[in-house]
Amino acid sequence: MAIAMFSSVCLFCSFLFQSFVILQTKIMKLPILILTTRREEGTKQEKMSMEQYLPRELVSNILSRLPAKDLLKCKRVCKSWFDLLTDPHFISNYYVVHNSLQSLEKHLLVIRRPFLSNLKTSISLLSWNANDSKNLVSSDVLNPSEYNSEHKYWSEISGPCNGIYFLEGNPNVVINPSLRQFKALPEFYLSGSSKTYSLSDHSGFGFDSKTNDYKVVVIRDIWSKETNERKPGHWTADLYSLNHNSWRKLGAAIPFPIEIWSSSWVYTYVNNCCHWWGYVDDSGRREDCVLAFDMVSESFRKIKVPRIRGSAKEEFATLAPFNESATIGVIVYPVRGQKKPFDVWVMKDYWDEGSWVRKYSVEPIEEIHKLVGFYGSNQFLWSSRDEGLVWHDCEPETEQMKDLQVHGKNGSLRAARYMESLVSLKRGNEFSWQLVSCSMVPDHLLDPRK
Amino acid sequence: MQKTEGEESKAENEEVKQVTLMTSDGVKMKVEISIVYEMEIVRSFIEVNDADHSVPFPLPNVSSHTLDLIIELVKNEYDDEFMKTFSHDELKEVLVAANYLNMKTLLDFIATAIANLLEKKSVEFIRNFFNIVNDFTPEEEAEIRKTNEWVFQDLDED
Repeated sequence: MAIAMFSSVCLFCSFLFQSFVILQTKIMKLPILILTTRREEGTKQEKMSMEQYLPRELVSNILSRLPAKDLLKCKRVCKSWFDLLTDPHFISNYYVVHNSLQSLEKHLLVIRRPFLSNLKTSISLLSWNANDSKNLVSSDVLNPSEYNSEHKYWSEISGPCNGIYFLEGNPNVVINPSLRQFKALPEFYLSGSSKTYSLSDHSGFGFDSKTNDYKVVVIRDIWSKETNERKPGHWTADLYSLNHNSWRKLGAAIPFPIEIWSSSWVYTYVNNCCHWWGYVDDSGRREDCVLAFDMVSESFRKIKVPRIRGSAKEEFATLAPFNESATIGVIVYPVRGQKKPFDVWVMKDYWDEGSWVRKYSVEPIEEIHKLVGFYGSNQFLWSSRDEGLVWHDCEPETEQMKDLQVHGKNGSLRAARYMESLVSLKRGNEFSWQLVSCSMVPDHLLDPRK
Repeated sequence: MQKTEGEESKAENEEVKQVTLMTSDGVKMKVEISIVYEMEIVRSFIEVNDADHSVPFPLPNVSSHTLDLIIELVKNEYDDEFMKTFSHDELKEVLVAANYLNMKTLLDFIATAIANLLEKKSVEFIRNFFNIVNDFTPEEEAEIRKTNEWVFQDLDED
């Protein structure tokens, strides 16, 4: 999605730029006489133009550099600015342009459960500058006013998808942190029949560009109430639509038997599809594979994976997006205690199962425990042995490990890249009131200003 | 910017290639070709036409004062401190000129500078900066304000 948007923006820009140059060249070839006769009017014209508004493209250029918060404020400036800032083209361009301008500024949205004694989760925005030698990390906590009860918690984060995130927990929410919008999803529609129940589930989050809808898909295993036995490899599936603000059962469910290892901590949303790392049972032997769900066609697909790791006991494998979310890859790394290099595998062509290649290997790192995030083609986010968050840049010339000074408990640390976005969760007036706004306050667990 | 002695004598001894530009207020200015080459609009003309550099190249949308500022900015390798001395009108004039001359680096630099200046400022400050007249009715403006009350907190003083 992002890459498609980005390349179309680039194409558009280069087109604009070329036609601009051609146009200018043509004008310049006109006799200089015309221009000199107008010279005396020049100062008057200039004065006029300074009193008028700047061209829309220049206003758009400047505004694309401001955070979303400032742009909400700028809607009040005048009608033409309001029109620009609510124009869907500006909103999608802003997401690509603004976030690509921030290449040195690193921002992560982190959820963690800081204390053993309660379930309360904090959602914070971590920021640092890659060039800052002082190693300063700042953190602000997102504080949704209505969700401060001890019984509310979040355990997984999926996103960003156009700047929108899905947080799994109680309640399930979709959020746009740049606009401080939180929206609680309605209770699950119980898709199991009265004869079955489920014990585990896995969710996926994405965008349907055809209907301009954000969707959450949840698959659940099936247990019989009568025998308390599980039907191996079988799942039911439910789908939430933001446009309808409701859940519905997916009729087809998953049309082939498959098992899921675990929900990925790295948001792997590629070509309108969300993905899970799983396996199929081939007469007693477990063959790794990927399960994909297409948010537009609402269908499941299986992607074959070659034998890329020894055994599940010795090596973890985590799915990750590659090439600006054009394809998927898998990062294979040793289970704690094993000192082994880790491998990065990529599917060169997303639509060709035979195109898996090992892209590169990285020397063993002792401190790492689990992969929490993956960015670009070689930036990793690990949770360390003591559950601290570690940024690991494998770029040959700038290779570094950076302790982000944030700790979780009991495997609660999750993180996602933070992206500024003007994409609103509002869908018509009837849902507006259901949005909870939240404030952002300095994080007392991590505050270098103190 | 102060030139070192070495640079001064070099400039005297070697004839630096220059292009004459004619500004909107009729001033002819000789500008070093390395600076002129950042102006895509002039560069593409020179390269295509192999023009006689002694004939002034007209810039009907750029005043001599703005061109002076641009030349200094490029010579100073886009120095933030120098740019901080600009008035709001000068910032806008350089912005418009950078766009017209198609100077990509300068346009990025000046647009970023203006964005930094506007961040966390009040709506009134922004209107003032761009000479924009508020065309909302008080009711309309209050409605927009109400939907996003939180963004109007913690603003810097103008």
